[in-house]
Amino acid sequence: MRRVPIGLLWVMLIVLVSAGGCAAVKPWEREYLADKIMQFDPDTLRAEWHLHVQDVLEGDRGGFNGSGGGCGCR
Amino acid sequence: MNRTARVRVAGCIALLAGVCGAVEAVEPPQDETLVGYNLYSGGGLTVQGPALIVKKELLNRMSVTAGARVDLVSSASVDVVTQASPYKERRTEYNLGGTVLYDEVLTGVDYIQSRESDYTSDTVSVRMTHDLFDRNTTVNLHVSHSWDKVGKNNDPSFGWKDFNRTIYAGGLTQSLTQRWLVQVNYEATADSGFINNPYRSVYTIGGGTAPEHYPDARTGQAWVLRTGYGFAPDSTDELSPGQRSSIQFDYRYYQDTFDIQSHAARVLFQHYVGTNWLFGTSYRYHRQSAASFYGDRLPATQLYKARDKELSQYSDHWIGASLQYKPIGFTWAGLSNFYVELSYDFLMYDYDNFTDPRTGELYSLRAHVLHTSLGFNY
Repeated sequence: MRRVPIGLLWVMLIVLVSAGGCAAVKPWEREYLADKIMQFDPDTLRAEWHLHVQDVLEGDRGGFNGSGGGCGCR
Repeated sequence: MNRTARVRVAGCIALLAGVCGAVEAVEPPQDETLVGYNLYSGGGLTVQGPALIVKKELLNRMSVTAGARVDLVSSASVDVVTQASPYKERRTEYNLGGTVLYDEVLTGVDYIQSRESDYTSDTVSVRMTHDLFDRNTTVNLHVSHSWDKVGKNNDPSFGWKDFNRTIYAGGLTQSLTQRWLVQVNYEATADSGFINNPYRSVYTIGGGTAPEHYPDARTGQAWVLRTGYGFAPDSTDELSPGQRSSIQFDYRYYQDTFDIQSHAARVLFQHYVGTNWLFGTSYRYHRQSAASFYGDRLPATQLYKARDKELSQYSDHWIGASLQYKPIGFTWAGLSNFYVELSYDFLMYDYDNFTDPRTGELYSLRAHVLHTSLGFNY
């Protein structure tokens, strides 16, 4: 299996970080983003169980630790 | 679950500590209880048991979370029936965590303890989450360390070997539009100590067996891209829940010092049916190369040896569906926001260079994964 250039992955990350300052979704425009269907792994127990099974069956791991995307409506 | 897999699972508990924080933005959790039941069945292995999470908010900016899970294991997997005897095992896991919200930064600390007859694990993790740019950007950092001990049943002379794992992870989630989210994550993992399986042997060229022997250190890196887009069939901006749908896409690239590389991609579609039902369906593809010292048969003189099928070359598919029922407005005995969820996944693993010693043919595995849970606020 051919290795992915690590530099390319970091460039993708930097581009996304830079994009952060450009987006302008206002708090009152976040109703759709606050919906459960827009969250990554909204069901904690199910997400844990699926990662658990993947850890058992597969030799790789990690990477699904992100946060955010919630309603921001506190 | 074979023995190496159990080692890996216990060692990866630190990763789950990160998942516990994955669903929250910079908000302390609400008072919530989740009760679940898990089942895995396939390849001669059955794992099942309950899981519980209780979250309690304190003083409007702090929260505590406690959880427990029991895995009841009954194993007659290909490794077990060809190299040992079928066994039953019980793993118990407890976790306790707390978060504090201060100046738009949510800081959390978690402790997880796992115990089984030949493996113990204690994990401490710290995570921080911060919203930026009018809450359009969320930055997440996560560090954890596990102190594990590996034993060997029915062999007191083996003693307890140390195994340690440290995880450094960071992620960024960005709202691109009112309906489009993107997330990137990076995670580095460093393992040291007794990594290999104390039970398994490898088959040597020319006949015979030899104990597995892994390097005593391993580092891995994972890059993840996730994106989600929401839409309504009539393409209007009306936010009627019965019309909302979303599609999510995940991709992960992984590589480590065992020379394993992998690609994993998943697509998930969710759709509300009426206002109370949420239907989801997903597909995941995963392909992994073999560790440099893996072999179906190996020279007896080779220093590092492995015949763990999880370190072989293979590809797999997950096909899943879920259904959630959440009766809007229903309350009972002071409890609210009830929901019930059921999910099922069918797994297909096909190995390229791992043969079944019983048949001499390449091994493949078919499995069923079930999860059901009940959640409510109190």
